[in-house]
Amino acid sequence: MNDFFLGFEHPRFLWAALPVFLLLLALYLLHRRSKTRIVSAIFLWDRPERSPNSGTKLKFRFPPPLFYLELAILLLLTAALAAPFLATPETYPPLAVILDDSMSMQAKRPGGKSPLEAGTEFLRDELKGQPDRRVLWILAGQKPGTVSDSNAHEDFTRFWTANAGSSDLAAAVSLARQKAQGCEILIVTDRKPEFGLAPDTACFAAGEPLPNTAIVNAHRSASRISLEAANFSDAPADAVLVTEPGERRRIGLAPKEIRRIVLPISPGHAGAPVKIRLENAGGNDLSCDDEVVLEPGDDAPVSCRIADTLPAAAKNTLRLVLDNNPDFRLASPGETPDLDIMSAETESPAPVHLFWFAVPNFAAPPASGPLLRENDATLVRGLLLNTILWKPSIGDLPGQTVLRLGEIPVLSMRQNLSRDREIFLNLDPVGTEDIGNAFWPAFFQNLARTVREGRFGPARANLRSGDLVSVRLPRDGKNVLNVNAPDGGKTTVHAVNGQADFRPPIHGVWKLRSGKEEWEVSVMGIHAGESDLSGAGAFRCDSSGLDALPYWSPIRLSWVFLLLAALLLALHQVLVARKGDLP
Amino acid sequence: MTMSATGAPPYFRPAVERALAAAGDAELTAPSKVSGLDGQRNGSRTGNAMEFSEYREYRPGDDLRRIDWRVYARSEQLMTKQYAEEVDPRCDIILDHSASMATTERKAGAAVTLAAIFATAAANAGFSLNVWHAAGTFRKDPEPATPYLWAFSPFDAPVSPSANPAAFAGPFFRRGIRILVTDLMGPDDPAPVLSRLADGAKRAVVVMVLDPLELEPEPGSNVMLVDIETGEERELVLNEGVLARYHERLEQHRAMWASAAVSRGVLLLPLSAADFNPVVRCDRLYRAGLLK
Repeated sequence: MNDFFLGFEHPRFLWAALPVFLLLLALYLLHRRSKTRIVSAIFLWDRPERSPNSGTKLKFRFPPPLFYLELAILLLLTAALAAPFLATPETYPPLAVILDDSMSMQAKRPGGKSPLEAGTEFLRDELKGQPDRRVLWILAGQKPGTVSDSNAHEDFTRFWTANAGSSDLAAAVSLARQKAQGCEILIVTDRKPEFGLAPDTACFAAGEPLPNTAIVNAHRSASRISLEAANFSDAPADAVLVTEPGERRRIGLAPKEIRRIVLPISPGHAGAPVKIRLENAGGNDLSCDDEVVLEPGDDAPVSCRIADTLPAAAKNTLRLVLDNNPDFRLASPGETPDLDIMSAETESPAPVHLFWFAVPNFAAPPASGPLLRENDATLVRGLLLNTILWKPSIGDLPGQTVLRLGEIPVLSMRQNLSRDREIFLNLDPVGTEDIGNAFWPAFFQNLARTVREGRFGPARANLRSGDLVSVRLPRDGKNVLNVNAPDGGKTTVHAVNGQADFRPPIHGVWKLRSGKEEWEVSVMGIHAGESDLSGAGAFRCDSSGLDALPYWSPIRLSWVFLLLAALLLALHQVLVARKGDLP
Repeated sequence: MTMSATGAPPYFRPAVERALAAAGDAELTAPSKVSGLDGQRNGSRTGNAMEFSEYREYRPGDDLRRIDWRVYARSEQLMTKQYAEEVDPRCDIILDHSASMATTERKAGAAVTLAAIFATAAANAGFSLNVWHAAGTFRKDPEPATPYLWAFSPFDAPVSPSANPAAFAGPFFRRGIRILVTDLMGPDDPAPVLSRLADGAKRAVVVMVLDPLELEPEPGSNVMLVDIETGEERELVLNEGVLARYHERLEQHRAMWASAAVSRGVLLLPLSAADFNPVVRCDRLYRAGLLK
């Protein structure tokens, strides 16, 4: 037989018991208060009970029996008001709590309380009365997901950090209905949801419309930083843009203006992170969007090494090309290059290998075409294929062909077992048109882009909160990525096939380490939609209670409590009539 | 012109007025068993004093020693000699001034009324009268026969006469009537004060006056009882059980005094203050033989 438990459909009505208790307490104290009576012979009266140790003046006086009867009647009526029921854990409907994980939940006035903090308090109070109920915790970020299927004891603050760039509450509601059929839903957010709420759905929103200035976009290239500063208030904002290292620049922003600003990076700071802060004393109610750190690295030059075994003509051509290309630099001795250019398939620590098959005297004649693109790989995007004279060096290539000259593959790619990218180039430098052809700048730009995609470390050095950090680990890192969070927290991410992915829960600069390699990624809390706090507002909507749920059929006990109260009331009347002035 | 005592509490004068109206011509009854050895004036009734009054036929129960055998020898009739009752009746009225006498104004007024009735009745009967105010020490009132002029002080003495029998040594009249008006609401041994009261008296009376609230206390949920004399406090719920035990102790207390009084020839007369304030009903005093 299932274990039944006693619950209340409207537990908030139990609060009604509080004034009842206060009233009864006042009555008790009033009753307990002594009236002085002068007597002529105290020795004729009882001596009050005293403890064996005696001397104490602390005495508890039991109220008259009717007092307990009245107390029981009031408690029964209060309990009946809260609609008690009997149910089994299996039949009790679960509660799906949808937590708005967007950044705007962090907004607050100085000294005030953010919707995140208010929602946390609300949830703790709300769930206190139903600790064993099944609770489905759903985090509503850009892509809602179930983070826990437990109960009210769950420490939801460990995953509810409100750092996502947006929140899809409607999708989260759908997910809740899908995951727990017949559940009651509770949304905790900072504004009234844009969609209509079903009777089974409650909502608590503790936001308020606030003025805010914010950095809503930021991008760093090798030589400059582009960013957008926005003023979401209805009044002009006099803000200061502080760049470290750099300068302070005063900017006036009109109401609702979004301004694009370009900041040059001096060559001396090309390899250092740049911190940019937008200061505005009157409108910084969301702190996470006022500061960004932009790490170098997205466009860092590709370091490459040219093997000595390459034919002299190939080496000369490569050096000539790479020396004048800002996307490339020659790796220093001892450095693990991003790109290793070799003449044959050999072992290399680099993540990208370019095998240049430059065997002279191949029987095939040079030809100008037709060069044909086999697929849409990054390496061959935008190439002018009909202007170049190409002389293959061998008849076939390993890997997947991406470019061929007639029937002869001249460029192919593959990924080896170590997930290193291997590029095979079938080109005789002696018989091929020189580097002055327009084909080659585009090819080397594509090559640089391909190498950047495949090199070790994070795929991107600058991300927005909610984005996935994807890190390709070097082979000496033992497939483990050590992560240091901006708040000092440490964690370890294990890689799969050399790739470690994680989603940073908070914004700031994250330090990553694998083996001997160390990187930094900046997670920026910038999202224009979240920085605009004009739509936030307080909203409260209760569900229709458990009655609104389709599969809810408990054993209701209100009538039992009312019946007991009526019986006790009748007994009370009998006692009053019999005893009259019962003390 | 009638004068009133200065410094007397407000209930004093009305209580005296009630007493005078109630007493009227009533007289304090002298004891019937008087020895006739004392006194200077002839009483109106015959007794066994020294002065011969008349002969009367013998009736069963008469003292055989009073049969005049010479008359029998002459007339063969048993005649007894009757003597004029020669008395100078004396009375001491002692009014307890302890604080317990004023637990209610009704009780205080009743005590004053009783004392004034006895004083007036004694004066009506030609008694030599002393009125004593027992307020810790004994104080003799200079105007005993005129209650209006009593040097009356409020009931505020911390002890009753029974608590301090050593001070109960006023120069009472010898062979007179002694009347103590009190409430006996003290935990003290009744023997000393009763012995002192009866010693040398022709008649000793203790009038025990209690307020109805002392005879039948009202119930109460939480009551802080405060002894008016000692200041001792007891916090109680005055339910049926507590009240029953109070009645039991009160009866035991009265029985103890009654027993002690009987053994010393003292008349104990319990009265309710409600019978003397605000309306005076003296029938119990007449029935007890105190007034005539």
